[in-house]
Amino acid sequence: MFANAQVPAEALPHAEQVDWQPLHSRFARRLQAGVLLRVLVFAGIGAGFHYGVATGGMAVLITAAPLLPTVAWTVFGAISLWALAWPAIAVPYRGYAVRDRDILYRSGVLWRSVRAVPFNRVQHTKTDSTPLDRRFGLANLSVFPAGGGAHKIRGLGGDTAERLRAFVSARIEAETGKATDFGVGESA
Amino acid sequence: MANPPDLGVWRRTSPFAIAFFLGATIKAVAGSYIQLVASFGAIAYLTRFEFLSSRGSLAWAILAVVLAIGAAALLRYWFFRFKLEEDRLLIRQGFVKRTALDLPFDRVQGINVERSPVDRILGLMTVRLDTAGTATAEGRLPAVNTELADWLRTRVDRGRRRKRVGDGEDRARTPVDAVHPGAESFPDLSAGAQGPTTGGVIVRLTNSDMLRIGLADRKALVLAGALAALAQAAEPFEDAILGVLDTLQTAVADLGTFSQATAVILVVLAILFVLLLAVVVGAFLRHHDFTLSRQGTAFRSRGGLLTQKEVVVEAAKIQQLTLSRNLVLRWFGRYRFEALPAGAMPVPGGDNAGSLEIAENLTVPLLDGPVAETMRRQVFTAEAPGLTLLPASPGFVRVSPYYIRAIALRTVAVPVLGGAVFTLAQWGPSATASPPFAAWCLLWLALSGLIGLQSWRRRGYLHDDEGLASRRGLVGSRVDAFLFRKVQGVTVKRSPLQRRRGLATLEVHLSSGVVTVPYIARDTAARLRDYILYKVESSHLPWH
Repeated sequence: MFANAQVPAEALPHAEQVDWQPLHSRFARRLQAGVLLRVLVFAGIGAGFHYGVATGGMAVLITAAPLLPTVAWTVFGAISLWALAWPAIAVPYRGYAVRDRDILYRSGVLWRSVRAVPFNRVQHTKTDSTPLDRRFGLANLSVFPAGGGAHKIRGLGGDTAERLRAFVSARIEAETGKATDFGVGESA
Repeated sequence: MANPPDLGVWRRTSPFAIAFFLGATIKAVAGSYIQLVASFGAIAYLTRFEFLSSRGSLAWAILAVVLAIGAAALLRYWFFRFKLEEDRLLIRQGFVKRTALDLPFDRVQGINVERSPVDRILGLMTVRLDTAGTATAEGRLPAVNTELADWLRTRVDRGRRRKRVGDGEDRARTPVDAVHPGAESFPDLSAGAQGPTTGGVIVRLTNSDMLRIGLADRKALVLAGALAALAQAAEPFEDAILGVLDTLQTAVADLGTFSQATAVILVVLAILFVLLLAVVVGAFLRHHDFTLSRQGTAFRSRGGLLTQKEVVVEAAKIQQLTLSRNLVLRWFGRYRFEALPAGAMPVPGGDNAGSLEIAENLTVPLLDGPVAETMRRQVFTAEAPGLTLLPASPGFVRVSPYYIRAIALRTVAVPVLGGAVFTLAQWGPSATASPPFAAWCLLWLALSGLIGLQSWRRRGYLHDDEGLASRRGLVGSRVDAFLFRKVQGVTVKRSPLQRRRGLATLEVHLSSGVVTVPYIARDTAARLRDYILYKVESSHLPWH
């Protein structure tokens, strides 16, 4: 059914055969730091709860099920360890590539995906960084196509993110100048 | 063109708009009724229902609620003000959280009009301006008169035209006016050559159509379910019902052969009939005298008995066409058609993608295949002549049979795992080896296999050089069609199973939503993706 007389499919640039740019080398550690913070908070809450149950009026619960705290802490520990290890596994699978006319982002360890957003459909761009991001010298870039759904690339170096944003904005400007009815006001 | 009374002045709408705000407030209150019921229940429980026994306080509470709603409606009316200018409409509203809305006419996607019976008596209407580019915006003017509505319409029209000319684009090249650069070579496919001519009525629904819409309504099923539940709940009154039946029986005893069973069946049938009638009447109220017509570059639908509703959508704004039918519609040989305009676009500085308001869809509740194809040709004009919206078309290509396995796995996993956990918890490990549990698992396996098979048979896609149509369904079926040049982004996804088998899922992001083509060969997916990107990036036609 694929009749493509005008442009042979082979002649089109392949989105897979690009030079994938890895995310910043500190990004995995930044994610791990975030997980560690959350683990500590939950551990604190859990410890407080444990202490309250053991000494308070609900001590019955522990005599009834003496293994319960052990099991709960083991499960918590296993999940925490997994969450701490995961960024180191997942981050190498993420990457981006900027081409002349679109930006590509790939992600996923088991369920892999490659998303492409053409510049002439991007409405605007944004960079942001949380305090934790800034400690690691990182920033995130978002491009917003129409119809909702931001296209976010996390874990870029601070200056890389800003340079990319400027580049994408410049591309949008160029496309807007060329396109006919594209502007929705931002560029006007 | 009607002259507006005054430009550049802040003013309020007609006081009849209070009724509109009252309705909106009640709707907002009713919308959160679950929380209300929950908190009311908690209070009732805490006070041991004491306050209910003293009638006076309950009456006061109700009075207070009614007064509060009335006051809120009055305040909303008082703080709702709008200003008309040459090229834009400004709205200020809200007394707690104030919002200011600035709507340039050239960004309006469509104008919708709603008229309640009271509105019609007073010659008023509620106008809603659908826009792209404003998040959480309500461009809604309640209770304005016909002149103002007409003025708004002409202004929006003119704004659109001016924008097009201002862009320096040759008007004949915009997709609305027949349009495609290659259109000369397919003159028979241009708009109007095959379909009704411009300005003509495309669809007009008759009274028998209302019956069909009512019967095909999902509510008919829900009502039947509710009836069954009601019958369960009515058990305590069984004696009373049987008593009534007895008297009925004695009353008709002279006629002879009535048994109690036939009487019960008759009563159930009568109730079902009444419920169906209610659904059909609902369809009547919503779609009475429904017409869909072409108005220049836009499509206009209008219908409704008490509250008349009018939706106008520019042909160029339409991103996606959807044709669907359930079992009942299939039996009637009809479809439901929807044209989805561009959704709202994100606003600079915000990323609340979830809370964006989507422009109103153009919906035709009932039409037949040829008319649906006419609509497709009118919307897509000469582009994508190879597409079709009809699910039975032989052109649809099936996806990989591994799709059956994926769907079956998805449907089987949860019930079987859930059943296993439940059995373990209830009867211990020995029960999981018992025959009933094995039978349960087998049943689910067989059922999920069937579901997978049927979903696979319904899945399919079809494309030509300009657009793609994707078909899916289980009992009914649904076809989504779009033009490549309106695409916003493309994703290729691969699960572990897909990677082993050299397959991929193609996700196409449109401004109106996402269209998916699952389980196609990886090469096909990659080639389609690259081709779509090529089309998007080389297209100089406006996409909305």
